[in-house]
Amino acid sequence: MDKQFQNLSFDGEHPPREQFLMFIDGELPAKEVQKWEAHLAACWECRVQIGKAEETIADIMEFENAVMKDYVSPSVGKTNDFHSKLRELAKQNQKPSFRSRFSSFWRNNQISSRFSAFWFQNRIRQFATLTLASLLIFAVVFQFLPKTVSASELLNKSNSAYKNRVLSVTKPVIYQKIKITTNNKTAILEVWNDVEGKRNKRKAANDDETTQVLKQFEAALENNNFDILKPLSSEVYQNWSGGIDIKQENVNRTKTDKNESAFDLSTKIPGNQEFGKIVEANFLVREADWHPVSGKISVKTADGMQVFEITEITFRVIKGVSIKDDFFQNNEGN
Amino acid sequence: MIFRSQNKKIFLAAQSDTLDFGADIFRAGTATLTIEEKVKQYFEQLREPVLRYLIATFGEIAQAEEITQESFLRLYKSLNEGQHILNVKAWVFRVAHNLAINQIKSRQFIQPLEEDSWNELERTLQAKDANPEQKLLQKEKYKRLRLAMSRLTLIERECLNLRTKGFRYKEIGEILELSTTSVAETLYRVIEKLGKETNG
Repeated sequence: MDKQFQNLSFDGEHPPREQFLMFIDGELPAKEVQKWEAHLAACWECRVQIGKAEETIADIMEFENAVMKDYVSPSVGKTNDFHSKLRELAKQNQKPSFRSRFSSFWRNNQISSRFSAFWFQNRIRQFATLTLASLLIFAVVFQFLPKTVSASELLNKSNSAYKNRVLSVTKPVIYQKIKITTNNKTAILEVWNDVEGKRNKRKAANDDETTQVLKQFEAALENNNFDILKPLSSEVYQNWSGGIDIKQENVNRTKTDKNESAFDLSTKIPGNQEFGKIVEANFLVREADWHPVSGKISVKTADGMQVFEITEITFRVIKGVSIKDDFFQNNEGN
Repeated sequence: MIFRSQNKKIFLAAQSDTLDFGADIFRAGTATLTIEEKVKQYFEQLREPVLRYLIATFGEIAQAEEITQESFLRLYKSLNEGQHILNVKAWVFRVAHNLAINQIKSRQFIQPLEEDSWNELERTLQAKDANPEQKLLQKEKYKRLRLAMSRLTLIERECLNLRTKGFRYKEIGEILELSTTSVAETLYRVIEKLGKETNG
């Protein structure tokens, strides 16, 4: 362009050429702008350069407006076309998405304070939204997750459910019919317990298999201080496990034989045990009424382990007054 | 007192209804306009500059309108999904730019203005009110400018045509994914080149 100007600018007397446009466009830092203004006040040469750049800009804008005018003049047809496309799109998305409603709620509820500027910073808001959303999701999921209970909770609930049931009857007699299985042999045992009168009655078949199973079973219970009159009782189980210092207790969700949801409490006693002692026990409690429906005990024997499976067949609370006194006098079986 | 607060409300509502492109459209007074209505307003105000940018930069007159409309439909979708758009004008330009780039990617040479369009333009210019001498000068100037513009590189045209729409260097950089320094250098080159052509 101008030889003299170029030379002068190289001498450092004029501001750098590349900055001319930045100066016009207001893109220079305030400090530079000050220098420029001081220089321009003194330098006609540079003022002319600025003027030329401005002229070029004016030409460009004139050309732009003249050339483009006809192409972009608002067309009613095009606008209507766009409006119908937008309408179509809006119909598809009639309801604003959850995210949109949530985030606009989030934004609209900002309390205008000096925190709002800080709050409006995208990252922070996104993070806060995400955290809140994940907490919400967690809460919702947690709500629908199967409930779990601890071992003591399970036994307490089962125990109090049992007591409520028993206490609802005057002079209750508890009738239990259970099946005991060990080493593929089975015994059916019926037990009547008069809670208040401390009377009881047991009844079982007289065959060899039943006798053998019951003998082994009762020995196992006695060895572990189980009440043989209450073969499947949360109270008894609680007393037993409460007396053991070192144990691993777990509660898992499971189903009963009748496909009802239940909790399976398992108690494992680590370490070396004496013969006859329980190494592992399970206690299955129905979720609906916290009633124990089955149990399992593994007892250490000379040749390994003997497993007893106890399944409740019938449980009934009978009014004591309906039972004759002499009923308890003659124990049958065993 | 009541009067004053009412006035304030009206002021806020009026302020929100005028389109401040740099502002968040969700702020004060949003309850008055649906997203659809907002997008319509944006379309009304921004259609022309977007269209001009596309035509001047890519010379794709046939597709420019389509790309422009698509950009605003995408704006609707994004707003509807709850996206927080701080600078709607720059957002729309970036989307339009990217759509155009994707469409013309395969082509190696892009004319800033097709020959047919130019001839048509020349005819319309002749019909304008101006004395014959002025018209001739104007025509000559436009011709030189058009030639100079056609010699610009794509990136130079992109920067120039965004600057003519009022974008700052930083915004141009964001739309084109360039550094502010590159934008400054490019625009400086453009003014140099075009200045040489028009001012001799």
